[in-house]
Amino acid sequence: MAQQQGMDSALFERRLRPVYDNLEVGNNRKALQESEKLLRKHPNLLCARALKGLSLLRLGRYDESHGCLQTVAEEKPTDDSTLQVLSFCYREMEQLDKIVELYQHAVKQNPGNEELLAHLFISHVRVEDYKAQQAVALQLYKAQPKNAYYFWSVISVVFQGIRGPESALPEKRKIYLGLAQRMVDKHIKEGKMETEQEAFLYLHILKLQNKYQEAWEFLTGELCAKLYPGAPVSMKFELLKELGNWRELNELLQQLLDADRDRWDFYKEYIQSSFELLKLTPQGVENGDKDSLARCQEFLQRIIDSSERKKRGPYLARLELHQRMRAEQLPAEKLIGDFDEMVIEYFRLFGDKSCCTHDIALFLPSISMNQRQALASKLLLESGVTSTSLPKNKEQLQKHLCALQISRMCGSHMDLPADHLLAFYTALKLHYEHGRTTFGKKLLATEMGPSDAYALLAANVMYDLSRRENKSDHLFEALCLLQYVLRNSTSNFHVKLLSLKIYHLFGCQVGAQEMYEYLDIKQIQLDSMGYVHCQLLALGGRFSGNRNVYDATLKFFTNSYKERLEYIALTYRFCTFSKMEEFMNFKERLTNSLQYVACSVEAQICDLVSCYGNITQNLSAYVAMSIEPAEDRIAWHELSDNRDLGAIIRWDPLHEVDAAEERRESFDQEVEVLQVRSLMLRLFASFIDLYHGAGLKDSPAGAETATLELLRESWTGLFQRLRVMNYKPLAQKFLVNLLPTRLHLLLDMPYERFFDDLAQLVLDLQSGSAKLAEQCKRVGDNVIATMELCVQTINESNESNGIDGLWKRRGQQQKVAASLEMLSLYAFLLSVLNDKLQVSSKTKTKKKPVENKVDGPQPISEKERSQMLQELMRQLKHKFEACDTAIRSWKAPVLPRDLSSFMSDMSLKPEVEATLIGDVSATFKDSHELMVTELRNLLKDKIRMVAK
Amino acid sequence: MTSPRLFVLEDLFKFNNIVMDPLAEVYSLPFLLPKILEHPELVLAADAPDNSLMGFILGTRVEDATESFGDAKTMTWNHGHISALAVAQDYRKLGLGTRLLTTVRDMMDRQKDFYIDLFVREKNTIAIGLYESLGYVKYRWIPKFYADDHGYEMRLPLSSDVDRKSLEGIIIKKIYSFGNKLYYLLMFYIFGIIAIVIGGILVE
Repeated sequence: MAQQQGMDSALFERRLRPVYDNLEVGNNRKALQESEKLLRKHPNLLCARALKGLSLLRLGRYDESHGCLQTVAEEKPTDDSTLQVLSFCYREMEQLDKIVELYQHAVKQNPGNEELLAHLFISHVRVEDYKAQQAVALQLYKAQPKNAYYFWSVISVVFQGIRGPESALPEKRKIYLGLAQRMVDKHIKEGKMETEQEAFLYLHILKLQNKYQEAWEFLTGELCAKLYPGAPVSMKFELLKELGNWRELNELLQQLLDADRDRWDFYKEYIQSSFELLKLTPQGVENGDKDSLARCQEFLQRIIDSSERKKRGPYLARLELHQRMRAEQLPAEKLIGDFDEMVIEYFRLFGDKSCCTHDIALFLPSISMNQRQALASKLLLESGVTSTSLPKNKEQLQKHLCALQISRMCGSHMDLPADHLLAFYTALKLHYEHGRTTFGKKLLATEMGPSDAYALLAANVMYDLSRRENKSDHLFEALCLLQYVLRNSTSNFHVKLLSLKIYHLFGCQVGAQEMYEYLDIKQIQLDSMGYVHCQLLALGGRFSGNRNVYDATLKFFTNSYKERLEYIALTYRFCTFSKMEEFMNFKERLTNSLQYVACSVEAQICDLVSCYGNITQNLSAYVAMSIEPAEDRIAWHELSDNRDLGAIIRWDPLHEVDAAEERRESFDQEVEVLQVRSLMLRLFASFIDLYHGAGLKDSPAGAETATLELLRESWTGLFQRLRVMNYKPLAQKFLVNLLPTRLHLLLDMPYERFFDDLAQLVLDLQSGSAKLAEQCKRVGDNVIATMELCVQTINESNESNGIDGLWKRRGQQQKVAASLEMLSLYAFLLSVLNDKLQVSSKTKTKKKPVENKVDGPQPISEKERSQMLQELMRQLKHKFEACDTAIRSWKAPVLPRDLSSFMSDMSLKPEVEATLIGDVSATFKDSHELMVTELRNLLKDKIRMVAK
Repeated sequence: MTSPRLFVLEDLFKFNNIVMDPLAEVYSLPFLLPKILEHPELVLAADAPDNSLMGFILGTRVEDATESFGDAKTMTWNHGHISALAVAQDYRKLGLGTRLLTTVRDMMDRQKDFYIDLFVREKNTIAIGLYESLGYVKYRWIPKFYADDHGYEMRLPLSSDVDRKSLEGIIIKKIYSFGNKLYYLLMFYIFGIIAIVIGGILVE
């Protein structure tokens, strides 16, 4: 019999092969046919039935697939292949608890089976059931006493203490961590600990309990030296600091620094330990002896003096010591020397390295403004490049750049008069061109030009000037310069980022999209860098064009979300305990990314605004979105700010820049924008569902009305709260500042009133309230006001075009887009209402005589409601036509200056500059034309939608 | 100012100043995460004094063979692989790449890996120079390894490889590489001729 089963198994594997093969290449229909063919001969073959379920799932036949899989699961299969297929299906459908059940049944029938128990363990991992994990891990260890399984149970106990449902209770946490420690202690006593990850886990458990002395003894003991020779030395630092053992830390660091002289992390710890030792030493006790700071200075000086090849580390450490002594009112100058002199010495030695600016910038906040500017002047002098000379070699060029960057950071550009700034800009352009032609030849295409930073600095200077004058001409010129640099340095992403920013500032979406594509942002960058573009697209004047950008971003997040469970299983398989918590935090950060949630909401709104089919098609598309008005699926308090704001290089005055504050402020405002957009989407969905969903759902009659009322209340409440919060627009002092969020646009435009009145209209239409006529008028007035806003904005744009067509362009485009967004959503709603009332009117005609007999105040008849609706649709059609007329007359932005006036400024070759200006101008013109075309197409669709 | 430390997953949110270089690959999470999660000690990052990222290296281990002996002891042969090495533009020419490579090499050596290999773009002459200065050898030339470039596999024998077996066959591979290059030149020439002929016909 055993042999018979073996033969059967081999035979079935061969028979199942075609099904697997077809599934693997995505030929799901063929796979279904193959599995059905096989089942006709062997109707009880569980694996074939499971594969049939998978084929149906892939074909989108969810109900059939569910039924098929359910019957297989109910038979409680125990063979591996069937279980694997079922697990895969349930993972795809996110029904992870069913996988747990599957394996529980299988284990019950085969107790002690290692493989099944391991799968059961992983299924508990997926649902984060740490307690169950622990139990299964111990069973595994009994079945097969491997260290991996034992430590699976240990880590499960740890997670119960720090991540489980009881982790918020200090007593419970203590109990769990204590248990975990005893489990590992027992293993150590038995001499069974084997790997460095196990050693790491033990140290981690001790640290979580603040048992630093025990951790230190273990870390420095024999066992750890054997198992974990690669333990990072920073672990020792951490433990010595927690134990307050500053002397030992100080000595350890001296040894390490003697061996490795260029370790900034070591220097920082060393200096800190010296300061702590100073505190421990009573005053005057060491009368003749030097204090710890003096010994520190002596040590640093010895390293500097004895190093043959100069390294940045000790010089920076000396500056750090100087800075910290001054912060504590200690005599730094006396002990170490003049700060400026040391900075200049550092600059002399390392000024030709491009990192020098960042290094010196570390110490600028600790000195006064006057001292900063004096230092900046000295550095410029030291660079050897004057206002009438050019760098002689690459090293001198880099030094000059560094000095200029430090100069800006010290605020030297802020008080210059306009003509000086302009002259400075011209000089920067000359330096860029000189550096490019002299030192920039023979570079790989993937290298940045050595003088590119001059152009970046020039762009910042021109932004300052434009902002000061509230005019766009200087910034436009800077944009042309950046495009020129980009032709020479195709890989310089700093230029692309700044160009992208300027294009957005001017409302030029084609240019911005071009730069975004050129940056080639992909994979996880879509989360950390998507903010430079995606957040600025919405309400930027185009709707259909934005969708593609959102799709690429959402695709990354969707894929990452699906794959997340397999990675946590990997950490268990590899027993990489050090990465488990880190990965869980990373996963949460990715799942709760503001970028992800914002793109999801904007994409859905974009779809609703852009829909263009007939009513049936539009409603099908709407239903496919699966919007649930009653559910707020966003975890507001867990949203994560994953933006990499440091990728955009900046040398703005340090005293004017608070990067952390800017991040926090912009994040808060973006979350508020998301609140408004998300609530608007749900509110609008509740309008549609009130009419469209009634016949399809089993919910009680009043439920949807209650949802609508609740959302409406939330909507007005949200706007009240936002007005009370009184957020200020983000500062626009420098080119690198984030552009303002759309929060103020949403508050200025009549979104609140528009949707509030629309809610009332929808309710009145449903109930046939006597106030319906009045409400129709109110809604009609809102439509007129919105249309007039749109037309007025376009007229203002045309009027100011002769003066400055770019400076306010973005704001104007946003207003037009917002107006059309509101009107488009309204058009969709009207078409749905009209469709339902038409149907309702026809079906209820026969019942009219019955209705007439009802006593009391009569609701407005279906016919009258329909007529009112028709009137609203006619009105909207006329307003759309008015908008179309206005948009048709919208002029492309006029260049801030004509060509000849640019040419007269020429410092580049005239033919080059002419081509550049022509190209950039063409980009602006193309962007305008594309926007107008898209908006007019949108209006055409909407007019057709309300024309029935 | 090199301070190699273990790469943490949060670094993925702030490495853009490094990976926006066109020669630095932005790998997908399915590529990155298994390597980071399996051998985290081989994935390192370096911080600048201002706490921004200066560079990172993505090392991993490849299992070459496993044999079981009579006493049930299992022996495994591994070699190290460098999947990515990238340094931010402003922190180049400071020895950071060398530091990252030597740190990972020492760890791989300690683990008795046999050799280290990596792939590099043919056009990336600066990187090739760096690797050669550390003892890596061009093992073979791979046509069209990258979407827009050919590549080299470079290898570095480690101390376990006493007889430098990992470089065996290098002469043959060099001959094959030369043959491949010749083949590509020939194809370009032929296509060029065809283009001229067809162009001529069309002109007529």
